[in-house]
Amino acid sequence: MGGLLNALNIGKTSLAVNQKSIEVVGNNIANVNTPGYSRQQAELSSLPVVDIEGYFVGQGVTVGDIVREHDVFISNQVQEKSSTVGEENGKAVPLSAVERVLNISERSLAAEISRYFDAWQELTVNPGGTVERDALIMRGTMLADVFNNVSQQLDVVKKDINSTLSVKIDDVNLVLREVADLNDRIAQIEIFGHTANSFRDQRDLLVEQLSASLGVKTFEGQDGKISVNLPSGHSLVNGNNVQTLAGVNVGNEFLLQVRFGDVSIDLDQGKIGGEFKGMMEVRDTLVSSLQDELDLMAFTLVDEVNDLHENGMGLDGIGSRPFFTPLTAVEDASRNIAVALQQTFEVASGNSDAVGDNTNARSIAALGEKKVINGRETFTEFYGRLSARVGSKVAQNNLNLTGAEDALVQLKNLRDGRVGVSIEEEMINLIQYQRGFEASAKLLSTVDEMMATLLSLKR
Amino acid sequence: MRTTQAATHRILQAELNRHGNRLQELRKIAISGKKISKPSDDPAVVQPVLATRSQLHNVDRYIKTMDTAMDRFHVMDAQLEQVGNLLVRAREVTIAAGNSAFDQGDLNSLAEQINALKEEMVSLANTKVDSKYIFSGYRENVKSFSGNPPVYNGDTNHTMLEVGPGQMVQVNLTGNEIFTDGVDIFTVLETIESALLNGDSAVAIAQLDDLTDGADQVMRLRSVMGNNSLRTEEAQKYMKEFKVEIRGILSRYEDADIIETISELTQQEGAFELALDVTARVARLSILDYL
Repeated sequence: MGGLLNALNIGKTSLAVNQKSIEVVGNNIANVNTPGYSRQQAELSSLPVVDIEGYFVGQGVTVGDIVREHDVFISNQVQEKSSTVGEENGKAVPLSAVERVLNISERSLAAEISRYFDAWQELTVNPGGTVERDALIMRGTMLADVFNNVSQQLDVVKKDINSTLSVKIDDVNLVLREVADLNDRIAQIEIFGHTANSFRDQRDLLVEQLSASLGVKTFEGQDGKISVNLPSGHSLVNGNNVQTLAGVNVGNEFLLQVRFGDVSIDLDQGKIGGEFKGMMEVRDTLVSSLQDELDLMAFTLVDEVNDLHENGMGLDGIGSRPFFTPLTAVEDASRNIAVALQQTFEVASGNSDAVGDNTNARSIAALGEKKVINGRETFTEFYGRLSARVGSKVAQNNLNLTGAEDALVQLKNLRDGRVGVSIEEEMINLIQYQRGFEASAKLLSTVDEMMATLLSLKR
Repeated sequence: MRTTQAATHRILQAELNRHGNRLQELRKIAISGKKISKPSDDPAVVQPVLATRSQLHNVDRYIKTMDTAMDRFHVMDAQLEQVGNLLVRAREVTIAAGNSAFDQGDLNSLAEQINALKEEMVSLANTKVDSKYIFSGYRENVKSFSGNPPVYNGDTNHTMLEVGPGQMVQVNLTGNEIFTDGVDIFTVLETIESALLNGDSAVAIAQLDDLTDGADQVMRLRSVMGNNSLRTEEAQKYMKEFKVEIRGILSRYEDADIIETISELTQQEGAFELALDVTARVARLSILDYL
């Protein structure tokens, strides 16, 4: 009877274990589409052998632990690629906005400059014509408008980047807090020897998000807690301590800071990675330099045209009138450029008050093809260079983004291949455990029959 | 290593995205006919495209300017021809004064004719086109000659127009160089008229040389203008050919090869269809149908 009871017990463990395994399979199937979910597996082991009257008989089976599949190498690679994708993604939207501003259509700044000098050329044919003079002043006004508009649109790009950053800062802070909480929970569970599978999955997913937005690096400690650092080495999460990010408006600038207690450290694009870096790079490197260059362009235009225009004379015989409102500084020139002339007779087409005098108009018209910016480039060439620079940045960004996304897809597939859920595999496991369950039930019923046979002996 | 559902769908999605994007790009090129609509399409040609466009702008302007210049030449030429004709007639009238049979009455009527010619000459010198005095230099709103004897009121400036990059052409003559500098045509006519009125036909005939010189003077200026006109006409012809050439260059930079685009589009559509087909196949195949 002792042997039968033992067999009954073995059948019981087997039933329980197969049932548990089916639960795990069920959970895997249920999470087949859960992002970041790693496949779990019941680790089966046979129970210790017991010496029964000189025979070593097994005691059945047990579930040692439910572990998740994990590959640190691939996880780190995914984290790193996420950071690259994040950075290029962060650049993509503002870059395309900048590209629209510095376009090459018929409404571009280059076309407008062309039209402005063309209006001067047209004036040379009929220097006294009110229509031509009117057209010229209108062209000048439109040119100034386009300059103002371009400068303003670049400001809008900066502003949009800033407001995106400030929204994302809140998101990132929440995620940082969550990582810290998960650190705590994982440590609490794993101190008892279990594996905190789903919490680790969750944390991996959050870290991936943080990599995409900030390019963070993580290190896991002995207790299962991870520390999250910026690429510059500044710590964001340490155990369950969180250093939050903050956005501060200083004048027109929006600064990203990390707070260590009472101390705040400014984070520039060199200290961070991911999406934040991408956006800040566009804002601080590209847009700012474009604005400087456009200012130089506007300033040179105003300066050169005014110089010549002041040499000439209006139809009323009065000279020294500037065409554009004189600018004192290069800074903000594209924002401040405006036409100073009000009346058509003020246009100095000649060096005398004679209505047919077109000498001055000819010299100003010639400015359009002169290499006046830094003595090296014409206005068209200069604009072309800016536009081409933006164009190659966008093209490069497209290329990098596609490349990084492809790589990320491959890495994620690789990770899925290692740790993801395959329906086919789970279905086959399901059959396997079902059969195991059926077999152990059969065992139990057989033992039961044997016991009944034994008991019926005495009747 | 196993194939997971998530991985399969991720690949399908990435590929469909890629095909979709390329298809959209090709459709845009096909429908606009331009392979470059934004700087990033080909950053290397941005500068040449803008430079070529501005060149095209300039060429258009030069052609228009030359149209105006040609108009002026024609008007100027017609006026100078008329001046020449008047001088020929003045010569004929003056020669007639040499007829010894003419009495003072005849001379008076000749003087009358000379006077009429002079008046006509002054009104020619004050020709107005498009409400501008064409012989007044820059001072085109000022009557070229006034008073008796007629005094030049304009200035000596020549209007230069740009008909090519840095290429200037003179499109006017000033009243003084035609009528008063060198031989003063008005004075000569005046002298002849008063000599005839005084019955001094010898003095009138003595002016014949000056009349010839005056005619030469007008002739010379007319031929200068004629040369300019010819040059401008040639330049315009060249500029129009140049424009065709520039258009060609611009088109090579920014226009799409439509045959290539369409064939690529067809190819891409095929690829996209195939990708969709594969996606549908994936959905049809499931282990669950076999268990």
